[in-house]
Amino acid sequence: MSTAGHERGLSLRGPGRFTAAVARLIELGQNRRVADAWIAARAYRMQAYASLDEPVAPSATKLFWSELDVTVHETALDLLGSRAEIDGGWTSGYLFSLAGPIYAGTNEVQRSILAQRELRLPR
Amino acid sequence: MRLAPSAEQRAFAAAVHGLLTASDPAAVSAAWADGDTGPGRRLWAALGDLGVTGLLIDGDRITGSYRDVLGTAAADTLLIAVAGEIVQVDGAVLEPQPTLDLSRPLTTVWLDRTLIVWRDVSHTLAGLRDLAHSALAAEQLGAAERALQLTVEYVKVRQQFGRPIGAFQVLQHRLADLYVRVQEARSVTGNSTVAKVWCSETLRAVAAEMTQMHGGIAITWEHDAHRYLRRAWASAGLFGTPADGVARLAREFLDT
Repeated sequence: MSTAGHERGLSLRGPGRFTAAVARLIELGQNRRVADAWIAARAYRMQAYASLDEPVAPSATKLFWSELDVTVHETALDLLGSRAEIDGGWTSGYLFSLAGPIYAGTNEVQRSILAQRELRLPR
Repeated sequence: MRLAPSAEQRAFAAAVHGLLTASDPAAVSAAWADGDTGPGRRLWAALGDLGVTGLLIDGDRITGSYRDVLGTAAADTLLIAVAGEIVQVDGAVLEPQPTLDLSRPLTTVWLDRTLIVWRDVSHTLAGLRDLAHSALAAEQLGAAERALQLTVEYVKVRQQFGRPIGAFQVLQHRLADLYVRVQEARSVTGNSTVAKVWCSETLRAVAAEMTQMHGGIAITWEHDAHRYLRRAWASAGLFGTPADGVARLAREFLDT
């Protein structure tokens, strides 16, 4: 549980990865989706700080960063338009991000863990 | 200290100038003087939508209208935030607004050459807005946590197809997604605008799912679900919508 917790939690995907990715995203364009990604990256960073006082369930962290990673890259590819066809950092990053909801326990598994362990719903 | 107008302030000034130029204020004033206040009120509404909530017309008097004022029933002092200062007025006309959120009355304050009896330049509109956003976000977080808790308790006892509905994976996963949002909301209090945007959207999401997961009972008057839903939508729009907050944040991060 502890090892899996680290794998799913903040130590696998530190908040700096997302604030840096969003900073690069802003260079591609500015719209509501970029702003939402910026807010989410900020929120993830603030949660990292807050988790020092109040631990966050690793499953919640994993759901959050893996979905944010996909969203950030999808937004980038949309902003790149036809340039997204040329393999660059965003394209390979997008393909890598798609693995996020799968590895370290799929996001469906994480949702079941949260429902049953944190919300105490019946199995 | 930067004393020059910011890009935001210059854009605001240009927008106000454009609206006034297009609205022919001379004709509006003439109509008002003749007793036809319709064009004037429409112009005020347009200015209000733009964010102009008051105008000083001379040193001691103020004219304008302010929507969505809280707590006027219990208040005996009325303070108005205008550019660069807070003023206390005497003789405002208060008009109750019909509100979606039945547990939080709102008032429109009408000022027509109303006397300013006190002023304070130590507060800024932005500072007050940040305070209001932080307080409202804290309330939204508390409401979202409670609405989620009530919904989780309900799906544990509501039986369907011989099982509690909370045993079904579809509901478990939807509730887990709300849990993630609410956990994130607990952390975002450090930036008042981020908190207002995030907590507004979180409470709306939780209240919407609360309504769906409670089923028919949620749309009865007696059940509390509609109170959460009303509060969620009304508070999201109070002191600026989430979209307003996003627009302000966009300017902030585009400047860096």
